[in-house]
Amino acid sequence: MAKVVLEKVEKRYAGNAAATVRALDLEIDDGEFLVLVGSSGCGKSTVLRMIAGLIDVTGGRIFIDGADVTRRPPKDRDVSMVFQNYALFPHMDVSDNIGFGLKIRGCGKEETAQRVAATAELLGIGALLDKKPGQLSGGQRQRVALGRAIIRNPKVFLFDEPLSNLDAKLRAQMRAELLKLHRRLKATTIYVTHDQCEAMTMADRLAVLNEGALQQCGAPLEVYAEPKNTFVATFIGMPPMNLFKAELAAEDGACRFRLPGGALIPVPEPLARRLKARKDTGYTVGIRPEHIVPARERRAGPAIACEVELAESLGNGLCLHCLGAGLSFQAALKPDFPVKTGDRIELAFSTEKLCVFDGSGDAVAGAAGD
Amino acid sequence: MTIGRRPAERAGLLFVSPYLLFLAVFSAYPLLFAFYLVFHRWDIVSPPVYVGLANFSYLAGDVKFWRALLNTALFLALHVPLQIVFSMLIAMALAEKIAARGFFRAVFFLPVIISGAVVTILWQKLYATDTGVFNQLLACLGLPPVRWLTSTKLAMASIAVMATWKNMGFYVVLFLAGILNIPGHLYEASRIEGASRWQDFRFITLPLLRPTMLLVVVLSTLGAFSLFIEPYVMTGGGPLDTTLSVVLYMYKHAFMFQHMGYASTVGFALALLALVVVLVQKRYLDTEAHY
Repeated sequence: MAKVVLEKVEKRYAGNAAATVRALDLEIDDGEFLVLVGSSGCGKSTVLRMIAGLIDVTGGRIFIDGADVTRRPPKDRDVSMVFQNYALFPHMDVSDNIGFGLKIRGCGKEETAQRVAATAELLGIGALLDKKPGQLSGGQRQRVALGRAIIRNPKVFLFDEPLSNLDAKLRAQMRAELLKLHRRLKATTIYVTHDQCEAMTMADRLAVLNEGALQQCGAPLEVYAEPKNTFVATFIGMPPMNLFKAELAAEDGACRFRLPGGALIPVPEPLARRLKARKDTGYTVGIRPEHIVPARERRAGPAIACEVELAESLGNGLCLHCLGAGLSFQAALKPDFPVKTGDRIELAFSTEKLCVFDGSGDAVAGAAGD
Repeated sequence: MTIGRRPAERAGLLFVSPYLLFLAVFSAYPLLFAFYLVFHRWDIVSPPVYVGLANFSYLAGDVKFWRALLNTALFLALHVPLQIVFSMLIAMALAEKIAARGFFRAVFFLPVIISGAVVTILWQKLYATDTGVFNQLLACLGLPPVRWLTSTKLAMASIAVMATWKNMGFYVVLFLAGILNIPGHLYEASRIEGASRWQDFRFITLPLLRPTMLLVVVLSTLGAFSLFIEPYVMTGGGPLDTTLSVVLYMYKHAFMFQHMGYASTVGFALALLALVVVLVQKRYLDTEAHY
């Protein structure tokens, strides 16, 4: 296993004014499970393909296990990759698919057969070795693709949205199996997904990309609780964080955010001091839906009377689309909270959970969680 | 249920009727009439005379027919592999991102749309022993001239090369479609696993082109069995009957000797043989590829 380092990596396609990937610096530790997450077209798959050597970089360098592999072909990087559509060879049976890499590298027939059998057993597909991919279910194909990836014991595993073709139930099951496999193999893994649920549950660290640039890299809960900018704030978390334009107003010695509809949100003291020192007045205030609570719980800021435009019951929670005090926002409440679409209720923001972003959308240092 | 009862069915029948008429007049009727002639002697002028299986017994002992069949088999053995190898290689080159790819794709298809007789006359000039381009090129290299079409050993091979050139564009298109149908991620997966270009070809391209190859083998085999215009124009079946194909032999019997019954028998025998060969090819090459 190995450490992977990306140093100012850039990808620019001919004819495109903007770079697909911009000056990306990233370090993935030995044995770490890093998830590259971002919306479609953000460049995450391009990054993965550059690490694999399937596409050339137009700037920067890539190191695997200390060696500069930037110009090396894929076969000399000792990586393996699991593709979104599995990329199984349709004319080969499961056994030949799993053992393909060994065969190419001149491994003996007997050893290949032994290792294929052991890998298939590990993945629970030992009984399918003589089947063709066309005879397998999506989950089974995924396991075969995994088998082909792990049999060579490569230094780095690359996963390109490997679960996105599976149904929700199978996806959850495979997610757990992948994590177990990772714990067992302790392999350096780079996993690309646009599914934030996968990203949050699987990653040791998340790297959030947008328009080819790294927005934030950190542990999932850290990224969730302390997003570095408004993009990360809204991209990570479902329902997404509510964002409001706000003016900082200091009246009667108290520091408050004045929201567009006139609602005033008190700013907790340590944050207030920092904001006063910045001298800016225009901010964006963010609050996660679960940090908006019924006003009667009294542990929050001032009550906001609002109308429930839509109440969505999720079984384990309740998502309310609310309109009040000139604000449109979503709140996540407990499933048994007695409310229905059209009701009027009073909600309050847990001000200690406010995230604050400056005029350019970057987080004000130390604001979140204060 | 009676066909044509519903208006939609009637409209459908109306639409296909011109083709059905064409099929009946130019395919079904000649086929049935030829089958009728197999059991008759007919010189076009006099009424047909029933001869039972006499045409078959003559065919079995007709040395010239067997010679023509052997010639056709030799042409098939030369033409089909040449066709497959060169069509596939050119298709692979044209599938790559090369400069002026569209131009080259059109150029390789051009011979297909040129009349067979024109191409044959053109190649006759190229093959000419004294003035032909090929021999002039050989002369430039200090080599003696080759009797491309007048040597009993080379004539059929020369015809096979020409026929390959003429038909290649069509098979290039088939192979190109087959190659472009192979998903690119399979090659990406194999590159990551460490495969070389040759291993890509051997383990991925070639096996996944088997359905296309079957089609090319069957079509070029059927083409080879119906070899006619090339020997007819270039050699007239010579020298010493070495390029006499079965269809040319059939043509000679039908329209030079007016042996319509015997010519029909030769035609049916050839069709039967072609069917057997194609079924054998299908048996060995038929696979399904799922992407």
